[in-house]
Amino acid sequence: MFRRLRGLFSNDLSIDLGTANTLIYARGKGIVLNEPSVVALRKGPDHSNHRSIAAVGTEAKRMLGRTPGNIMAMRPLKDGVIADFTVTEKMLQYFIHKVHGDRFLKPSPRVLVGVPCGSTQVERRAIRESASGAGARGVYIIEEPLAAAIGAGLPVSDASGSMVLDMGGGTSEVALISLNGIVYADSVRIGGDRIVDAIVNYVRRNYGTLIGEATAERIKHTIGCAYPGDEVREMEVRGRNLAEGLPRSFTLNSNEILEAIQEPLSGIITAVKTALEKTPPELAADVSERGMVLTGGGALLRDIDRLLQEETGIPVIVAEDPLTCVARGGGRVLELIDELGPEVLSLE
Amino acid sequence: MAKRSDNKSLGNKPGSGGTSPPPSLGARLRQAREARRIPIENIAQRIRVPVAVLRAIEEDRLEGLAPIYVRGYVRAYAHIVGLGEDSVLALLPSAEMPVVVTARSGRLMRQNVMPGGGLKVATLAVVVVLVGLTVASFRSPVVDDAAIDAGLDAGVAEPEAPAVASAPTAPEIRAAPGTANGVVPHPETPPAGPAATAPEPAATRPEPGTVADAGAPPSSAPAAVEAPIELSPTELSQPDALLAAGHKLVLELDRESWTEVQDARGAKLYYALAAAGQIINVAGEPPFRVVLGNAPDVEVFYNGKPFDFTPWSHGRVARFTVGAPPPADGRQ
Repeated sequence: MFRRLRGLFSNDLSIDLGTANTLIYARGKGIVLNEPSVVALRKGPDHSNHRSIAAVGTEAKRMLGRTPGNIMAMRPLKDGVIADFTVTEKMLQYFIHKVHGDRFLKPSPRVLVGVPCGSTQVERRAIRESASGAGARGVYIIEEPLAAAIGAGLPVSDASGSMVLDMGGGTSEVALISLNGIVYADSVRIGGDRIVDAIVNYVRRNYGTLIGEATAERIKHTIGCAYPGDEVREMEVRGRNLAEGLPRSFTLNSNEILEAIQEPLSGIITAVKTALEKTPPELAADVSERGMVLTGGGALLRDIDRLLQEETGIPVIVAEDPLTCVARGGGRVLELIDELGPEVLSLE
Repeated sequence: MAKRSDNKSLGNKPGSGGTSPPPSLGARLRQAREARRIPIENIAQRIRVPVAVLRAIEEDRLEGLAPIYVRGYVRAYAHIVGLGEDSVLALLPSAEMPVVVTARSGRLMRQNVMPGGGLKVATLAVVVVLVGLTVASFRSPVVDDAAIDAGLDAGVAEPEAPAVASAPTAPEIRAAPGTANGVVPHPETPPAGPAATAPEPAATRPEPGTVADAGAPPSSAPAAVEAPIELSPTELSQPDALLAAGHKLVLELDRESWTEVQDARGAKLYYALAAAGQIINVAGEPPFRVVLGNAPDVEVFYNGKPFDFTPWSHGRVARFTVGAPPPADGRQ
């Protein structure tokens, strides 16, 4: 009863609880939060198990790899699902409160959370419990590709096939949608994190130098590309030389990064090709004519659309503002739930 | 030829930009393509879009395509012919999120009667009135006295009064309200109702291990012993007695199960993996929200009566509410 009362004074939220970033869309307000899914924990004195939250989000991400012994910066989600239940709950609680600001009543919003389509019931339940524990009075679960397709503006309710590839930090999900439902979906645990790891490994192998994840991510954003282009871009990188044990700087170019990330890219291509193989013929014709839409942070990798286009032979379109598609699509679903009831889409 | 016409159009722009209408999106794309002497088939091959679709875009026939696809094709087309993507996309309508359910046109959309602030203000007003009424009713001495008297009378004279000694098989025993040896209610979850204002502690809440022993006559109030002994156990859960004594929930586990119990205020009364054979005994303000991870191996008793939660079981997990008021949804 009291939760419902508090709910009247809370904004319904659509949460894209991603491995790399958490985005929150509030109804009527748009994207109100976009922060890294990172939590910094402070350990208790004298080796006790007590842990307290030192920082969450952007502030905590700045601490990654730069923490003293008593602070541990961690990412509570791995491969799109919860790896540390308690920390995820605290992180969500923090984000929900941050979105609502300082209010007299403790917020108790209805929350819609996107989950990878390959996640198990246990993993989904963990997310549901985590959101409930963070103060949500009602939790809806939606499969991320469906939310991404709605957020991207695909005509999901039409009796025609719409294909979406959502490339997140931990997983990449390909789905074929028709008549408001998922006809085929597959999830591979390859995403931005694997690309970052591939860059770290490449630099260690070829330059004998160790670089951190943050540096590798900066390299990916600056000179990363998925398809060989006319322009070769370069970047100066600093790391610790393994042989000398001293910091050294060197120059990387985009062709090297392209070589470095071949393995994760081929995994994604395989998943897309498998999806196309398993698509019913009528829908395959639709997809072949209209193409596939890319969402998620991975869609921002330079020329990823060109690569997929060349490999699959179908048009590939990068959605507008691909990072926020899942959160925006979830927000639209919340509106539809109010207008037409929860049976409107296949929600849990 | 194409180059010449393009030069013409480009040459016209600065001089007569104010008089002639600006070229449409399709015309701009076509002009740029022709200026670079790129056949439309080449562009179709490069971006894998059928030639017919590209021709439709050049002729500004965009009706049959969803905006997201049009924007995608136009962006790729503009990139190849060297036009600025932003300037071209600005001529297109934005790719809005679609209305998802268009197929169910027979259904009318429900609109909020009082959207936004109106509903909030109305709710606040109702809450303020309710709180005011509650405070007023608790301050009224007539109500308090009547409630206490009723409780005392029930314990001594009325045949329906709960008799501790008469119900040895009941999971939990409650002494009559106002009895001298009643046990103190749980500090965190005071019982609702008039008995909460009684000057003396009224309800019994023994520890889980001592539940069965609590029924022994020596520990009970004399007034309760005087009650007729032929009372059946079901009469123990008469509404008056419940209100006076606080509501209790007992969970008996045959095997281990994840167990959550929350009271009406959302306070977690139990939140742990309970071991096999454990008897969980909680008291608080109903309704209780219960989650059982291994429901088939758990028995639930609410105020002494077995509670059937099978309608709310899904597989091995059960989520249900116990003690909700009858008009709500029919659950106890």
